[in-house]
Amino acid sequence: MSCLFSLKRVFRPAVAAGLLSVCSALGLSAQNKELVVYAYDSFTAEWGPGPKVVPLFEKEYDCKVTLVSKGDAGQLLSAAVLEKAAPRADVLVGLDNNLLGKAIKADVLQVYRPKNLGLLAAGLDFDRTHHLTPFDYGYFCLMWDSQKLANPPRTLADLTRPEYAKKLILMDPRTSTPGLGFLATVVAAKGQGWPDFWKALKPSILTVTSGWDTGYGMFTQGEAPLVVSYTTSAAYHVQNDKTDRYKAIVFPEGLVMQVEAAGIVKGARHAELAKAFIEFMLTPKFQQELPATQWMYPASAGVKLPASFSAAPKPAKTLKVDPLVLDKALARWADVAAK
Amino acid sequence: MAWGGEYAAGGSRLWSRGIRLLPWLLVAPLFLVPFGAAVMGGVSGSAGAPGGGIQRFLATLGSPSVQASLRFSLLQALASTGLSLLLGLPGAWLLSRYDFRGRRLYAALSGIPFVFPPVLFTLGFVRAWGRNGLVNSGLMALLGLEHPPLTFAYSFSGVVVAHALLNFPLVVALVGAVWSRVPRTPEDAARCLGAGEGRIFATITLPSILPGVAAAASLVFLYCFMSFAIPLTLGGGPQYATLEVSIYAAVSGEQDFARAGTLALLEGCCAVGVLALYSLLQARAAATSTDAPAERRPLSASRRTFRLASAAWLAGSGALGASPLLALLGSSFTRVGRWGGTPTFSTDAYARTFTDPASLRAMADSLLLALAVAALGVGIAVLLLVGEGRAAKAGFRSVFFALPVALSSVMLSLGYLVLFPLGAGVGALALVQATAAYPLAWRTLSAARSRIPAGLDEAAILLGADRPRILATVDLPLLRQALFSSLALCAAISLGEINAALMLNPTDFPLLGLRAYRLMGSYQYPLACALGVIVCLWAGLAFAAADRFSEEPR
Repeated sequence: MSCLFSLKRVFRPAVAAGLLSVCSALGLSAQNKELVVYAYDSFTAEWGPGPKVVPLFEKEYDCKVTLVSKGDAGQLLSAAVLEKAAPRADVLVGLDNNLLGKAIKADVLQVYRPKNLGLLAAGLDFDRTHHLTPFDYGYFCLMWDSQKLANPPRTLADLTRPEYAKKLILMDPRTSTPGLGFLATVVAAKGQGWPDFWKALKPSILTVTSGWDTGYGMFTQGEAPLVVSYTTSAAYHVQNDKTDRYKAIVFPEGLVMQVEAAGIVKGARHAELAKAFIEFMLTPKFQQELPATQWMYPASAGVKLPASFSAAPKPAKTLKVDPLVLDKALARWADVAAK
Repeated sequence: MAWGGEYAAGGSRLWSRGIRLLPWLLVAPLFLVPFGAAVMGGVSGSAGAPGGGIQRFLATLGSPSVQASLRFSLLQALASTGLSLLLGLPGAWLLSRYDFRGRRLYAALSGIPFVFPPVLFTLGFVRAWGRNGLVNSGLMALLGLEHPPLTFAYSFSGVVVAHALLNFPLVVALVGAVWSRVPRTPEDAARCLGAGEGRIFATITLPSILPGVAAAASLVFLYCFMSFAIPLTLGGGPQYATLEVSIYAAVSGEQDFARAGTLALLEGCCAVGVLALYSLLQARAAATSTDAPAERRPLSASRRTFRLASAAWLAGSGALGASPLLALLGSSFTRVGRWGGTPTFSTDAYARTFTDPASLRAMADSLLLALAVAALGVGIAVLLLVGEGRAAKAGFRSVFFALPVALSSVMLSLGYLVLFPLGAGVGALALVQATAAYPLAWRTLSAARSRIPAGLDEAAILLGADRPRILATVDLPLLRQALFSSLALCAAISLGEINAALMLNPTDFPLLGLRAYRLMGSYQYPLACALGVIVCLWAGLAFAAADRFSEEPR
């Protein structure tokens, strides 16, 4: 048998390949005009706003932006905490109002009050300490598949009824902001008694997914007729699928708002460009890309919304939860949900 | 049996002693250091998040969610092992004792666990068995049902069934290999002496095949206990999270490294116990085996009922084992809008995969990483081979160097992130994947070496060679097939790995496994399936190439 594949001939190139890849990874470039932005998956995806707005910023400021996807908002914060000692990111995009407590406790952001703050619509500036700057907002709600379910639940308490057994898809509040939003809704509505409500809710839960994408995908594939999402999902389906099959449920108690924000990393290497990016996020050039890609309401006042957004109901009341109370609930959630 | 060191010249004895020390100096730190850094960093608080010390450690151990996670890990592993044995043993029996048409195909099925990464397996499993999967849709259409009849996905049963489908081919392969080497002569002797078949089975066959079964069972238990990708996607909540998933949630979701460290220690202790058990059982099974496989009988010579039952079993279990892979293949040839709709036939997914520069880059980078991991993994395995004898002894050394199998790769990755906060990228990922893969390569090579006739090595010793020289000049060339199998195995593991990849997530080094996971998460099934098929194809080809150097009679 010829030694075509003798050990030596396979070994050396393989080791060389290994060394090459190691070297390329450790070769960190130190460009002056560079900005590193960590964002969540749907921002950086091909159908998200990232690929549209980043080239605009790069052109305006003559720099190179490295847009990095870190999974979901929870993983985003994790990544920032892990590199706290020597941060590689300059800007974090995707932390929201419900994560404010955690973000401040983690001490990974620096304070910056943008000059363009005046462009924000009223009532959206949730962070008075200015660690986080809002860029869009939405309302968490339950989405309902009218083809698979005849009687949707009307209130939060309805969900515990036996007719909804194994019909609800939730997300893990530790890793998903809609999941956290649902927990916030429960805490806002039930106060200290939320663990008892969750216990009563258990039979209705089909599954708790780690991310919104997975859960919503299961919903549209028909695995269950109720899912946690945003009111604007109804608008999405009207525009893209030309159907009003998926409807949003607005609780009479009110809905929790999600205000998504961005912040500058503490100890960022390119702080000036980071500040410019935050300002850029509040300008019309950035904001007008948001409705069609993020399917969220732009934070800046005066941006034109697509016609389909009228299919998304606006809640009469917005529920608010104290960040410290929510933080405590989140810390207890795993234990409550596991029992 | 006496080894060459004592008979060789003085200088090379020192060198051979040095070579035997190398694993302790080079390999042990590979997993001890990152694991230790992650656990200590977490518990003490030096990893960036508040620690809490011993009090917090004990409090975490007692909390309901950790107890639930431990309970779930143990129970599902037990149930999965049971179901895997149920599905795998009959096939192993048939494979080891009979010759029949399609034997090679069935044996090839048993390679599935090695080429099918768990995360992609879950994808295929959901496509095949999910509430809206192929089986349910088919049954609903055939029987005119309104609701899907099979609703076990996303629950305890779902995780167990998925584990069993993935692992039963492993049982078939491992147990089949052991059983085929059980000497038949005692049975034949008993038959000559007039014992009935039942008595032979109960008193001779059973005791000789049990160690092999127990060894395979403990290995499957270990894999299911440490499972990550399957419960992560199929789980359905914190009560369905294995310890590994809980560790990932603690690190990634809660930034609670102290909790992660506690969980990792808990998981590690349990897993090491199972590993030690496996080591013992494996040595036991190997000790009673012959060098060459025993004769097989043609199945066509058996009774008709037995033939029919066997054919039915082989076809049924084969279809079950292949269902996720087939579902993956089928789904990759469909086109579906991003949010639901009826699937139609299309090669769109492949067209997009091969024209998208990002996915092409992911393919190239994944191959590069796989090659590096294969080289590293097999290199480490060969280094470990140098210092050991031919018989697979169950000792401290064999358990110690197999430890990476029992240690959370999420924690190993966290360890590298703690040690190298600036640059724990692809290099760390290669090391973590190689650490996870080398024990399997080591086992493969070890088992193959134990089958080399002892006479060859003894002749070499008489001629004055010492242990490393014997390994290099006598054993390694004969281990060519095992070497290539090991390279293929390590490469396959790297291609599909997501535990460490999710943690280390090298930003400028896109990977196929991660990409498929993200696509799967955003319900872009056809694209994810196409990538999955490509990964399985590569791994399969690597094994097929290794197989070409086979010296085993088939």
